[in-house]
Parts: sequence; structure tokens; C-alpha cells
Amino acid sequence: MTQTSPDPREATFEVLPNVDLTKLPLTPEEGFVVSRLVGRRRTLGDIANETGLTAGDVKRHVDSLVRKGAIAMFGRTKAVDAREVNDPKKKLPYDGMVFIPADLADGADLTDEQKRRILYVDANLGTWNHYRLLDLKRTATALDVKTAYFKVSREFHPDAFFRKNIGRYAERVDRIFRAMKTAYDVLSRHDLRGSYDQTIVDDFSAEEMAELEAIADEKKRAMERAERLARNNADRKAARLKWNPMAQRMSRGAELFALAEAARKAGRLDEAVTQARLACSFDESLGIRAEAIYAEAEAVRAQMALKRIQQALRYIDDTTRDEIIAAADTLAEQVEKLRLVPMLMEVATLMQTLKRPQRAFRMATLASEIEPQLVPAWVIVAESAAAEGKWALAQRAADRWQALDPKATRPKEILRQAKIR
Amino acid sequence: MTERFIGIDLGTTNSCVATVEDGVPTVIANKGGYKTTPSMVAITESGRRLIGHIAKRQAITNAQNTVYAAKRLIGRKWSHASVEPARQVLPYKLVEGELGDVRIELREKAYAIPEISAMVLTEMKRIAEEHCGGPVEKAVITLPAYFNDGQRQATKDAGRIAGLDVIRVINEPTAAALAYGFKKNITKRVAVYDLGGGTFDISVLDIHEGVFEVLATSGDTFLGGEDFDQRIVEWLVLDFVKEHKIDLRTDVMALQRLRDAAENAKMQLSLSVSTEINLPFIITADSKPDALHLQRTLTREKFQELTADLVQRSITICERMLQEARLTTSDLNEVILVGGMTRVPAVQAAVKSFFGLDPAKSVHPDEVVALGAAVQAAALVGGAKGEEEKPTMLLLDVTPHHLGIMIAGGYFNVLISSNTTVPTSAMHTFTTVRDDQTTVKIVVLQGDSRVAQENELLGEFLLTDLPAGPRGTVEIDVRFDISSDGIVSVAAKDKTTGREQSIQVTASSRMSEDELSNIMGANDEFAVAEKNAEQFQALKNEVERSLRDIDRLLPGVRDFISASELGDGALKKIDAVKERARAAMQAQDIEALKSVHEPLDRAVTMLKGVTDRIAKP
Repeated sequence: MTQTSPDPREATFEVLPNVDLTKLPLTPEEGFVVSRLVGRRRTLGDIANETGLTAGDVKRHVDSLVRKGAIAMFGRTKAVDAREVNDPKKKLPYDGMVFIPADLADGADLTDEQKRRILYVDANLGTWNHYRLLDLKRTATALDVKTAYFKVSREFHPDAFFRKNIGRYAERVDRIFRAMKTAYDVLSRHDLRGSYDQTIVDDFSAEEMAELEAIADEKKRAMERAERLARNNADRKAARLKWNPMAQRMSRGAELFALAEAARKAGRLDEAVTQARLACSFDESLGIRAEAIYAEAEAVRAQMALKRIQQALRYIDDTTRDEIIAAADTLAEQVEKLRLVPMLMEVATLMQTLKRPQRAFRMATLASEIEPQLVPAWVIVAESAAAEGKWALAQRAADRWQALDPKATRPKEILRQAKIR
Repeated sequence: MTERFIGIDLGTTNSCVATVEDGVPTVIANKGGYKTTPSMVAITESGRRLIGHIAKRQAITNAQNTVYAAKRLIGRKWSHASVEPARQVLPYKLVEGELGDVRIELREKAYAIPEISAMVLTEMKRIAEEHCGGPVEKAVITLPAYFNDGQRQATKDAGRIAGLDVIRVINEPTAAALAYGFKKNITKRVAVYDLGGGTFDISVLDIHEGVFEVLATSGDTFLGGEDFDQRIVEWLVLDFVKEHKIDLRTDVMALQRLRDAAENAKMQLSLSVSTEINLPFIITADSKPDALHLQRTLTREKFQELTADLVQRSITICERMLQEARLTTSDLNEVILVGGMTRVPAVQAAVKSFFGLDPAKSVHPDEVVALGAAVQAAALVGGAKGEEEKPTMLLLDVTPHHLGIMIAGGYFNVLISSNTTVPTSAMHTFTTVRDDQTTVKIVVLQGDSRVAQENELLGEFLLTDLPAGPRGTVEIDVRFDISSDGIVSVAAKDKTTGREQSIQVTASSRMSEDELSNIMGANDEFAVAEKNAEQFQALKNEVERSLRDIDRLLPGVRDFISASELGDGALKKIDAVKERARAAMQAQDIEALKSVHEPLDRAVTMLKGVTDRIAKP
């Protein structure tokens, strides 16, 4: 391909990257000129101004430096460059890099185009980041990375030049392929790519910046969409519930039950029971939880009845005796249903006090069935059985009592009595 | 003229050669029509070299001088753990070479293993040349992916001895994938399960529109069909011992027959569920009047039981490789089966259940590797002169082993880890361990163990005259390079003085450069001698036929001739020529044989004429 040389008066010059100036045969004047062009681009006019040399001398030295491969001519001024960035399609191939004729004469089996590509990429190895090297955008996917690497491999893998006469290009190709492989190794591994990205955060082109922003925007929009969707879903669910009579009843039940629970917590058990019953009429599945509330209420009620009876005992006389015994019997029946050991024991003791050993025996037996290790229960069982004259039962209970409490002497006594009888 | 190039699958038991013709990879059959040739070499009593099918046919009667499975020994050192057991089971004799390598002694001459392999390669080259009708030089040779540097070098040496320009050695599973994906324009991730005669390899590749990237590779160079055969042999031997109290392995000929029978039985069991092993007159015992026979039925079930652990070993290697490559079986799109052993139903079933994929059907397990090698040759040099469009195909292969050097404490310091794409290089800076240390020894190793000693030694070299200084201050840069062949070179440089020393790690090929050129020279001589031998044989056959004709015709006409005038002289002449012919055959003198050829022919014509005349009065 042909490339028209830019007008030297418009062109800028700069020392090529990777050029070792100490190895070039430069005159002192050329060295002076070249020192102005390390890392900066200057036109011939700029150089003349900075060095104080005449325009003719500057032209002569610069021409010589270009021939010797120390510096390169770049086609456009900075103002033009800026415009190119904004319009990538109009970008010059090889960024306007000027090639050294000696290089282009080397490597017989390569086309001119191949040579230019190799020289261009090689010259930029030190400055390009991994993305640029593989011609990738920062947003590239794992597949993009692989495809790009395969594409450049076809071009730069040493096998592509197998047994060809490519002269000094061999080492350049080698260098390029290794760099590309390193780039691929980093970018193809998620973890390595992540930490690499951290090191080149500033290194974005305008194009990449715009793309990244677009992606961030898209992400934000996607999140908003997701939120909106979630909200809509909640709304729709509520609406659905509203029109479902069964669900309505269930939610009504739940509401009432919440009231019941609240009342229970506050100790207003009667109210809690009422609410729980109501709640169950709306939603039967609440029954099990309601039972717990009923039981608690019963227990409290029994507790209170017990207290009342115990108070009444202090004023017991012949007129009130039957009444108290009737109340105690009712309580006993209730407590039997509740099967609460402390209550059973209290009532059993109460029955003993009231001289009703049969009742006391039943209560204590029930308590001992629930809690077989409970000594007082066995005591009452044994005593009340003995009091009733059921010696077989008394003997069995006394055995138990003795087993649980070996120091007690009373069981021995009962046993002896039982034997006598 | 188009440059001819071939791909050779140099197998443990069989070899195969292929080329690319008009853009189509094709296997080249030998004269007998076989597409694969046994990798066997024999030396006959008369010193003749037999290669391939003819070597295999005479293996039973000439077991001590018939080499098979030489590939299992190539590039191995005498001290390697695998050599001693091999020495015990192989019927031919192994001896230690001068460089600590393994050599095979046949008819009192020791051959280096690459020499033996070179004979097989020469045969493959000849088959290709007969097919192409002209000399063939450029070749890609395949080898197991898990071969180390020494084995690779030795294989390349074998190619050089055979007069081949080995443009590349590539891994067998990779070659199989090349043949599979050639010109298909597919994007797939494939596993290649290659269980051959002597080695097992597993590789995973990404194929992407003509680029073949090897992601990971692993294997076992001591797992293959030979091991399966060995299990059958052991089973037969043990049974025989139980019955007759005789160990058949002590008899070389019996052992060779057992081995053949085992191999046949194994192949039969891929087709049917049971097979007969019938070896009459296998051995004569001193204590018994009659010869003993061996007759057994081997079922597929029994065979699977005998070899279940071998199959499992291969699957375990697959598992480990996937793990190291951070892959799972669900990442794979295809499994390719390579190597004759993958015809065994139990192997197929194990592969299928491990990968959860039905193996690719389009692949011929014996030929695909050679085809792939030919494809790679085509990609490298094919159409180099622009006659034909070069296949746009690129292979990105990896190195199978870690590569590094030994460091203080006897540890192995890895510089290039396994499964790195080749060509590659790595640089690392080391330092001295003692004060004023002026010499360091760089010991180059390849392998997978953390302990230096457990790895394969590739070579070592000394870097001397280092500047004196406290320990840890002198810095030495060591640079490793692995070429596309997987072959290693190492350079060490002392940073302060800039002194450099490097090795192309040739020591491990176990043949010095001198020796190599000697062998190559001898091979040239031998090539000439061998051609004469063929000519001699042909001539001898004709002379023998003439002599037989004379002996048949002469008694009937002797009286008639002697009665005629000049008859006595003619008879004397005939007797004299006969005598000369016999002497020439005895002395194997080709010139003398040429000189009697014509007079004998004339005598036969004359005798025939006389016989006709007597018959028609």
C-alpha cells in the first residue's frame, strides 16, 4: 500500500520508542536536536525556536536523524490528532508512523503490509495496555478475549512464519506473540483481569469511557426495572387476596388471633379465649394454637379456684364443709383434665386435709404417673392408700417411696403395718 | 515440484503414515494394503533387518532378536525406575549404554533405542516414497503428550537417523484433534482420550475456526494396551502353573506365543463376549512324556475383572487434569477416542460414564493421529511455494510438565508450569547460598514433584568464576525457553560479569552428536547394503529356480546327450555352472551369482529342447 508523505513543514517529529540513541552514529549537533525530541513532538519551526539553529540546519539534521532511524515523522499536528480521536473511522493506519527504509528492506518472505504491521505493533508494545494489544474494548467478554487472541495468533504466532526468511523480524514477531500471550493469560482469567483493571483505571479512551457510562446507565435502568417489577408483584398479590373470600376469612382469622395473643400476653385470659374462639370460627387451622390459649386460661382459672378453697379452709365449719368439698371435687376434675403436676399435688394435699383419701389417692397417682421420680407424690399415694386400708396399693407405693428416699423411716412403718394386716 | 511432506504416528505397537493430497488428509497403505505397520524390528540369523509385518510374523521363532514396544524405552535412562521391570519381561536383551542410556542387544550388537525407532521410521518413509514415487523428507512425527524433553529429543533423533527432516514433533491427542477439526470451521471444546499400545494421554482443546488451543493435557507413559495384554498373560501363566507346575515365562518362545494369543484374545473380546485361547504344544516338560497344551476360555467379564484397575487409572488421570484446568465435564462438547485400546467396550463405557458424552463416531482410532500429523505438516510447509493454498490452521499447544531447576535443600523450583502455551520462555533470578561461592551448578529438571530428585533430570551445567561476595549478593539470571516442539533450552547469566552459559538440553537424548553422525553414516551404508541384499535375494530366487529345473530335466536326457557328439562336454559344462552357482549362493557373492545366471538359463533352454525332441520321435 502507498502512503503519501506529509508536508514536512506541517509534520511533527519525535524519537521512536524502543530506540537506543547511544547505539546510533549521531553527530553532536544531531544529538542536541534529538534531545529536544525525546517524549515530545515538535515541528521544524518549534525545533528552530528551541535550539536557535537556522531553519536550514534544522532541516538537514532532522532529515539525517530520520534516515538513521532515530526519530520518526508524524503526519498531523496535535489539533488534527484530537479531531481523529473523535472520528475513529478517519484514523490514519499506524497512527501516521513513518517506517525506516532499512527495516522495510529486511525480511524477504514478508509482504510490505505484514512488515508495517509488525513494526507498528512492536514499536507500541511498551505503551499499549493488554486490551489495546489484542484490539479489545474494556467491556470485552471472555469469548471476545479468546476470539481476539486467536485472531492475532494467526497473524503473529511464530508458526505463521515457519521456515520463512523473515530476517530480523523473527525476534520482533517473537516479542509480539509473547506479549499477546501474556495479555491473553491475564485477560482470560477473571481474577487476574480484575486486578489488572485496577492498575490501568486511568487508561481509557474517550470511546471506552462512553461505553462504560452507557453500561453503568443500563445497569441502573435494569435495577430500576427490577424494583418496579417487584413492587408491581406485591401490589398484584394484595389485589388477588382482596378478591378471594377464603383468603379474606383467613386474614380476618389471623387478625383476631393476633388480638387473642395480645390479650394473652397482657394477662387478660378470658378475653384472649373469646378472641381465639372467634378467630377459629374464621380459620379452623388456628385450632391447635387456640388450644394452648384455652389450656392456659383453664390453668389460671384452676389456680384461682384452688386459692379460694385454701382461703375458705381457714374458716371451715360444719355449715361450709360440704360446700368446700363440692368446690374441691369440681376443681379436682378440672385439674385431672389439665394434668399439671404442681396443681395435682396441691389438690392432692388439699384432699388429704379434707380427709378424702380416695380423691387424694387419685390425684397423687396421676402425678406419679406423669413424674415417676416425684417423692411427695408417692408419699401421698402411700399414705392415702394406707388411710383407706388398701394395703396392697400402699405397700407398692411405700416400696417406691423407700427406693427413691432410702433414709425415710415412714415407708418401713407402712410396710410393717401392711404385713400385719 | 511440490514439496512432499508426511505425518507419522510412531506408535508403541503400530505405526501409521499419512499425507495431505489435494487438500485431503490421506493415510498411506503399505504394499500389503495395510494402513498400519507393526512397530517391530528384527535381525535375522543372516544379519538381515526385518521391519513391520515380516518382523512380526517371525517374532515367535526369533523372539530374542525381535524388538517390540521400543517406544516405552525411548529417551529413558538406564537408572529410570521403569527399565528394570521392562528388562524382566522383555524377551530381547537390554544393556546399559556408555552414556547411561538403554540399549538393545541383538545378535551381539547393541543398538540405541532411537536407532531402533529410526528403522521403523525408515520403513514408514519408504512406504510414503513408494506411494509418492519420489523422495520424501519433511515429516511431522507424533509422540505422547506426556513425553518429557528427553523422550522428545530422542524421537527427533530417531527421525534424523532415518533421514527425515523432522519439522515438528506434536502430541498425539493434539494431532487427533487437528484431524477431527480440520476444515470443519467449528467452535467446540473437546476432550481427546488416547489409550494406545503403550501410553495414555488426555487433552482438552478449544477448537475455534481453525485455531486449536490446548487447554490442558495429562497422561501416563506406562499405561496402554501392552499392560492389558500382560494381565491376560499373567492369568494364563498362573493357571498353567496351578495345573502343571511349569512357569511358561521361562521359555521365550512360549512367552511370545502367549503374548500374541493375549493380544488376539483382547481384540476378539471387543467383538464377542468370550473367546478361546488355544496354544497346542506350548511346552515340553522334562518330567512328562508328551508336550503340554494350553486351552482356555476367556470371557469379556473376566477380562474386565483383570483390567478394571487399569481403566480406572486412566479415568483418575482425566479427573485430575480437569481439576487442575478448573474445568468440569459439563464444559465439554465432545469426546474423541483415539488408539486401538478405545475399541475395548469397558474403556468406552468408562469414558462415556465419566464424561457423560457419546464419543465422536467420525474418528478412526488408528489413523487419526497420523492424519493430524500430516495436517500439521501441511499447515507448516504445505503450499510454501504458493502452488496450493495453505490451510489456515494454527495450533497452540502446551507443555505437559513443570520445568525448573533444583535449588538449595533439594527442592524443585518451577519456572514454567505445566499447561503453559508453547513457545514460551521464563526468566528468574537466583543467588548463591554460601559466602564467596564462585561456582553454581544449574540442574535442569522436568516433572511434577516438589522434591527435585523425583523429577526427570534434563541436564546440568556449571557457571564458574562468579565474583566472590557474601551469600545472597551474587545474582544469576536463568532463562528457560520451550520451543513449539516442546523442546527445552536453558541459559544462565551471571548478572555482574554478564558471563553467559547455555545448554540445548541434548544430553538427555542420551546420544552424543558424534555418535549420532556415526549412526547416520552407518545407516547410509546400511541403506546401500540393504538394497544389494534385496537384489541378491531376487537373483538367488531365479538361480534356484533354474537349478531345480536342471535337476528335474537332467536325469531323463543325460544318456541321450552323452551318446551324441560334444555331449560329454556339454554335460561337464552344466555341472561346472551348477557348482559355481551353489558356491556363489553360499558365499552370498552377488557378482558371481550374476555371472552364472545367464549360463544356467541357457542350459535350462537346451535341456528343455532335448526333452521335447525325445518325447516326439
